[in-house]
Amino acid sequence: MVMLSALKRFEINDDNGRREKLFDLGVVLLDSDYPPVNYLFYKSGANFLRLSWDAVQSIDWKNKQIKVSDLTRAEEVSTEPSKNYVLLGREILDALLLDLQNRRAVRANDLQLEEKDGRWELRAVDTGLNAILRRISFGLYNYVGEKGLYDWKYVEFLRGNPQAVKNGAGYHLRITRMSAGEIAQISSFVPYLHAAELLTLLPDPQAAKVLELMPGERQLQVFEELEEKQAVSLLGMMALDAAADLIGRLQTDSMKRLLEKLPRAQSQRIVELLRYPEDTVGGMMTNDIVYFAADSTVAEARDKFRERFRKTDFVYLIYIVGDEENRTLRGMISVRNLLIAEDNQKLEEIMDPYVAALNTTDEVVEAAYRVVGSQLAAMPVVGLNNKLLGAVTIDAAITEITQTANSENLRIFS
Amino acid sequence: MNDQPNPTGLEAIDSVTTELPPISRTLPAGMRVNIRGRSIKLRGLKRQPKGLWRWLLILGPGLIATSAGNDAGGIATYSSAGAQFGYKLIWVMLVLTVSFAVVQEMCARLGAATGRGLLDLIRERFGVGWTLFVVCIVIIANGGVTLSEFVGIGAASELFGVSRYIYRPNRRGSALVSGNLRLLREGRENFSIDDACLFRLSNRGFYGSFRLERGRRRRVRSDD
Repeated sequence: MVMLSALKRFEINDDNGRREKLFDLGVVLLDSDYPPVNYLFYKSGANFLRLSWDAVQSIDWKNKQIKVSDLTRAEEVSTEPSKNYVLLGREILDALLLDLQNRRAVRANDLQLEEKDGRWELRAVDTGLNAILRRISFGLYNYVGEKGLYDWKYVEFLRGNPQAVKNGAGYHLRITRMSAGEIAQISSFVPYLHAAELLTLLPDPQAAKVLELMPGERQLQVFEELEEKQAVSLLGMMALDAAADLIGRLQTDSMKRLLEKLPRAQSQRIVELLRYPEDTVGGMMTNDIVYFAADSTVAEARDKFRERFRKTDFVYLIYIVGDEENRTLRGMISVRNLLIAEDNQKLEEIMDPYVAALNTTDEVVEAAYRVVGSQLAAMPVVGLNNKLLGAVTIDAAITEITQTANSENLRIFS
Repeated sequence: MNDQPNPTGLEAIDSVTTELPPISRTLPAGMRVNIRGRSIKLRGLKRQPKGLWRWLLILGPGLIATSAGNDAGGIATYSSAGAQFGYKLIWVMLVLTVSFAVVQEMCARLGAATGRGLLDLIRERFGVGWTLFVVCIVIIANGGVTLSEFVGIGAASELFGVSRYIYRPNRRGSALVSGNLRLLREGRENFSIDDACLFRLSNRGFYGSFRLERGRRRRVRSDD
């Protein structure tokens, strides 16, 4: 086991007595869970030189020397970051890492390597204070504590560049195994460029869910760093109310451009939501709900069921309307009741006709308390002539109440 | 057998409606936007502030930073320098203003562009050694500022007939209380390392000044 801070004091020498100070080590991150060292780097005058690990003959630990066959076999390379390998000292040391086991962001104070089959492997990252002391003590302090060491296998290295994925940089991608909520939470611990990079690592459906769950301000910061193609794709996968909230915060030009690039039906429904002020029920509701005509039979409803559920975000309650064109709200039915009902029954026979509803211009906090108090998954929203326009879901209501409660706390204490 | 009479005064089930009486509200004017050739009035947009309000929002953080700069230590220093040298040193203010503007704008731009603080950036670019060096410089500089603060606070308190020996520890005490309140309010999770260091320094400063004052009082008593 050896620390990178100790290796930085090693020299490279060859059979002809040439000596150079080791500058850095290069690894190919995706080679394995514990990537082996592939290259040694050193500087000679103004030149930056790379030597393959295969040239290493032996390591003299006592005299801190790496013996290689011939230093002249080294090739000159650019000092710019390469997409084929990563420099441990220059790129990973002091960088921000995601500790996936503990769901937090840490800084790499030192790196631990281990020798396996005659080759060093990157095994762990040291985030403790001991690592800093080792680095600034010029070799006088060498204690390695277990506490700050994290297994490299469960660490995601971020570069702070949302374009890195596109440029071919390698990632573990273990982050994709976490839930969207956890990824959204962990992304709030890192600067917004890192958070945007994190989003580009994920498959689009997961990234859309993560984006939905981010707090509004962070959502906007991250969204503006994405490429337009990905931004449109994620918007298309987000719940309509979340997408409308996000689009409503963009600059008018960006908003128009994105709405024109989204599929027409989706764009129209987002525009419908944007017609209402943000502090009204209309601004909080979703219009992505399932409704059926009251005179339909259960069998007919079940036939349309699959297609409508596939396209809709909120599917836990089904609203019953007079007819699908005028959408006059008549009642409500749960998915469970629809599934257990007889085929020939009409929906109006099995629906619950006593449905409390909200109005589009109702005040948002009061409405949120009503939704929570109703103990329903959502409350319908109606407009003129009792026309069904959408629903306020319980999660939207709780988010609204939580935000209000937090802002009141801040006012009390500050 | 249930002989309860039929309830009266209730609506017949057929006339039950889900519609609630709408509350009359004045809605914001909204913005008319042309999307796919269709002109639509949107009220759900967060519009960028315009006119005077926009300028006040831009000026706000700068005004706060400037006001924070005109602290007790600063006022004491300016007034004593003015009393001693008159306007002879006014040219220094011009140089200082330019250098302050350059440094503050540079830091603000770095922060806005990268989302990271100056220390984070120094560490990522130049390593932990330079970062520690900068931290030391900041501690020394802020130590000097803190000293000048207490000199200014002491001088100001004496203008009002309050002994500096009473005022200084109380000032520290209030910092301690506000720090504790913040710790309670935001919890340990949200209390960053920077906050913790400042809080600890604040506590240390309080106990340090308390011990200093107590030592002085003892000396005064022994002199008596």
